[in-house]
Amino acid sequence: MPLSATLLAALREAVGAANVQTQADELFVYECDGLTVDRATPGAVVFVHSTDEVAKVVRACSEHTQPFVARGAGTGLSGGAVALNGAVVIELARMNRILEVDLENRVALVEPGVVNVHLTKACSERHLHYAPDPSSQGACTIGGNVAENSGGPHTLKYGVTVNHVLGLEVVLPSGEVVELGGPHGKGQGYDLVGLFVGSEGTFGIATKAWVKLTPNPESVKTLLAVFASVDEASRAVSGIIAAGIVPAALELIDQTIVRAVEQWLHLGFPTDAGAVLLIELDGLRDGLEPLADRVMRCCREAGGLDVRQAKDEKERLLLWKARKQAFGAVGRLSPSYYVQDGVIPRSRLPGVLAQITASAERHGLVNANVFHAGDGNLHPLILFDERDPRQVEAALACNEEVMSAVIEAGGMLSGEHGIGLEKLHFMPRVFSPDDLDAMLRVREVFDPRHLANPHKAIPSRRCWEVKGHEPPKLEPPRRKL
Amino acid sequence: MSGLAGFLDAARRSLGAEQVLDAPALLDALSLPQARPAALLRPGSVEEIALAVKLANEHRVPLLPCGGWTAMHYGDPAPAGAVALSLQRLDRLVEHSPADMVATAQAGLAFGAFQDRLHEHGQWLPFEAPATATLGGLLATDRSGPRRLGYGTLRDQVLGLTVVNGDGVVRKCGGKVVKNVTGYDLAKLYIGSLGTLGVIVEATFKLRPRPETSSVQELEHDDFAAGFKLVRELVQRLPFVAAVAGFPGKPFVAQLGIDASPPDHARLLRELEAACPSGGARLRETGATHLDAEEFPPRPRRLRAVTLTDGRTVEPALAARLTWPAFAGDFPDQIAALDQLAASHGFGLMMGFFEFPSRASAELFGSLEGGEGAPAPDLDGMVKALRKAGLPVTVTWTAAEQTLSASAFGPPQPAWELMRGIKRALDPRAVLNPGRFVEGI
Repeated sequence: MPLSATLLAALREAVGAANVQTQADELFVYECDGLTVDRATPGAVVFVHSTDEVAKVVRACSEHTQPFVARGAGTGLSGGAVALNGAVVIELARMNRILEVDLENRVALVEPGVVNVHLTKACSERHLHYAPDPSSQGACTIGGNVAENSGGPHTLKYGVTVNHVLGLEVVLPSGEVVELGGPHGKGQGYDLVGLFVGSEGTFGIATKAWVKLTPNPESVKTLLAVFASVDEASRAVSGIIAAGIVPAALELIDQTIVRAVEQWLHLGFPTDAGAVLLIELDGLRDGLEPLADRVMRCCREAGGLDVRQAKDEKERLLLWKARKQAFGAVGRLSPSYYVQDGVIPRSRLPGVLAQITASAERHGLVNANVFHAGDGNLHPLILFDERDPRQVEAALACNEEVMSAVIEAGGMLSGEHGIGLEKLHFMPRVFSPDDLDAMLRVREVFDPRHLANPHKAIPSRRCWEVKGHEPPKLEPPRRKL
Repeated sequence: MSGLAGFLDAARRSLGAEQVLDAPALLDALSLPQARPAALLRPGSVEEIALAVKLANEHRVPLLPCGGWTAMHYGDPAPAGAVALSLQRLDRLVEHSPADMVATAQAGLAFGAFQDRLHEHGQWLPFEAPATATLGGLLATDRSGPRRLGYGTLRDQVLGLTVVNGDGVVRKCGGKVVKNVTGYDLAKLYIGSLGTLGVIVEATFKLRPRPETSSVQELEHDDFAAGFKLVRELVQRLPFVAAVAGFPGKPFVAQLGIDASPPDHARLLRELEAACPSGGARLRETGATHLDAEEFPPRPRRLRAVTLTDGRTVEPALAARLTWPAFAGDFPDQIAALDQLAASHGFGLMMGFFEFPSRASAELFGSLEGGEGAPAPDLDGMVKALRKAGLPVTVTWTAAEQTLSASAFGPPQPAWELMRGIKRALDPRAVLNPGRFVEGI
C-alpha cells in the first residue's frame, strides 16, 4: 500500500528527498533479509544519518500511525527486517561512526551502523576486541546485533551481545530519545538495557551503543579433531563440557560442509571424516598446554581419529575462515538452504542430531550441520532447490520436525538468530498464553500501537487469544514458492 | 473487616493458620528501619504464593517478598501494614544436570546449601554471597560479589525464571539452555527489581566448573595513589577474577582473587611478586579462597578495627553504606572528596572500596570521639551534598538512628517513565514492595 503524500513529505523534510526511496526497483533490494523465503515490499526506504534524523522519521511515522522497521546490513536470518504491511524501512547503515574508544576503561561508543568487525579492527593495536563474533561479522552491524542479541562461536566463553552492551541511546516509537544505562552499565532501576537487547526492533531504534571491549587472550590454541561420525563428535562435545572445560569456542562441522568448504577453499580438511570439531582454547600460556592435553583425551575417548593443532596464526585463521564461510560454501551444493537455530541441552546433542538427519532423509532432502556445539546451539541446514515447489514444501515440513525435536528435548527456538517472522508460530509451544501476555504488556509500554517492527518476535494476541487491544491486521509475507 | 485483618483471615483459611505468623515478639525481631512487617506469611508452594498475591490484590495489602532476611535493609522504607511473604519453604533443588552444567532451584533455597549441592559435582555458581541469603533474594537485589570481574554479574548466570507477577499470575521467561533469544528476556527486568514486578519463585542458572585452585592475595602499599595504580595495572593485564581495593588509612590494601589451573595460578603469583618489590608494596597470601562475603562489600580484614592517632584501637560503629558506578581512574579523586564531606557531616571515619570493574562504595562510621563540639552525624545532608555534586549514590544500608529524607536510590534516570509503565504492566495494583524502589516504584 502506498504511503500518504503527507507522510512522504514529512519523511523528505526529515532526511532530504535524496534519502527517501520509493521506486519499485529500489525497494526490491529491501524485500527480505538473510532469510530469503519470506518477502514483502516496503512502503519506502529512508536513509538516516543521525539520531536527530531517526527521531524525526519515527515521529513522522508515529503521527501517521505508520509501521516502521529498522534495518542495518540485512544479514539477519529470521526475517526480522522484512517490512510487513508496507512498513517504512529505516536504514541505519550510514550511521557508521565509532564515536569514542576509551582504551583505559575498555568502553567504546558506536553508532548502530558500525560493522561488527570494524570495531575490533579499531582497537586491535591495543590488544582489545569486541567479543561477540557472528559469522557475518564482516558485514553485520552492531545495531543489528543489539536487536537480535547476536552470538557467534566465541560467545561460549565470552557471552553474547547482551553481556557486552553497557548502555544505549534509543529512539522510542513515539520519537522521544532516551538513554538506557551508559558507559558504567545499567543505572538505577530496572535493567532496560538488558531488556532492550534482543527485542528485535520492537521497542524502538538504538541510535548509539556503549559496548565493552575485551582484552585479547595472551595465548590461543586451535585444535581440529577428526571423527568418523557426527555422533562421535557430538559425544566428544558432551565429554568436554562434562569434564568442566570451557573452551573459547567449540564448533562442529559435518562431512557435507567439510567437503563443500574443501572444494572451494582447499584448506587441507579431511574430506573422508564424518565430522570435525574446531576447538579453540585461550588464556595464559602457562596452563594452555595441559588444557589442550585434557581436550585431546576427551576427543580420543569419544572415538576421535586424529587431533591436530594449528601450527601458526596463519593456519589458525584458515581454520576459522573455513568455519565462518561455511554457509557460503553450501551454495556449491544446493541452490537454497533453510537454516534453523534451536538450542538444546548439550547432553542431548547426539540424539537430536540423529533425529534431524532421519527427518531430512524421510523428506528426501540432505541435511548439513555446522554449529556452536559447545552451547548446544544447532544450525541444521536443510538443502533444497527453491525452484521446485515440492522441495520447498518438503524443506518447510522438515523444518517443523526439526523444531519439534528441539522442543521435545527441552530446548528453545533460537540461540542467536531471533524469532523474527519465521519462528513466531512456534512461540505458543514454548511459552504459555500468560507468559506471552507479559511480553506483550512490556512491549506495549514501549510501543502501545505496535508501530515498531510489528508482527515480529512475539506473536500478537490474536494468535493465541482474543483480548483487548489488537495490533493492526497482518498482511502475510509473500512466500517464495 | 479492615484490609489487613480481612487479608490475614483469608490467608489463614487458605494457607493454614500455622503459616500466618503475627506474634509481636517475632515481628519485633524482624523489624528494620526499612521494613516493619505486620505479619509473616509462609506459603509452601508456587500455587500458594500466587494465591497470597491474589488475596493481597483483593484486600489491597502490600506484600514484602523475603527470603533469608539478609538484605531487607536495602531499598526505601516499606509502607505500614505491609505483610512479609516468605519464600523459605520453597527451598528445593528442582533439577541439577551436571552434564549440561545447568541447575534449577526454588527461590527460597539458601545460597550456601545450593552451592554445597553443586560442589558434589565439582560445579558452582561463581560468585560470593552470604550462605543464608536465598537465591530469590540475591536475584531480586542483584547482589553480585567481587567475582563479577571474572564472571560477570548474577544477571549473566541466569537462564530462566518463574515469577508470580503482581496480578497473581505465574509466568515463565527464558529457558534451561545456555544460549537463548526466544522471546523477550524478561529475566533481566526481574533481576535487581527488588521484587517490585514479580515474586521470583524459581530460577535456572548456568553453572561453571569449580576452579582447580582458588586463592586471595593481599597487597599493601604505603601510598594510596601508587598502590591503586599498581592494582589497576595488574587487573588490566592479567586475568584475576576478583579485585577490591580499599581506602583510606595507611597502608593501602587490596585483595586480588585468583581462580585458575595450577600452572596459571603459579604464573599469577610470580607476576604479583615481580610487581611488588618495585614500589614498596607488600604481598600476603590470605589463606582464603574467596573475598569475604559475610560483610558487604567485602573489605580487607585489618580495616575493621581502627587505630587512632593516640594509639587506641576502636571498632567504629557503621552508620551507612553508599555505592555508585565509577571508573577506576575517577575513584581516587571521588574518594578524597567524599572523605572531606564525611568529616564536615560529622562522620568520624570514611572508608572507600573499589570493586573492579566500575563499582565504588563507601562506608561511613559514626563520630569516633563522640566528644562535645563534634557535629552529630548527618547522613541526609551528606547524601544530598553528594548528589548535588553529581555523584549518583545509592544508600544500601543505614543504621537505625540514621534517616533519609530523599530516596535511598540516586536521581531518576531519563527512562524512568518507562520503568513506571513496566511496573503498571506487571504489578497493576502495586501490591509488591510498593514505594521501596527507584522513584517510588
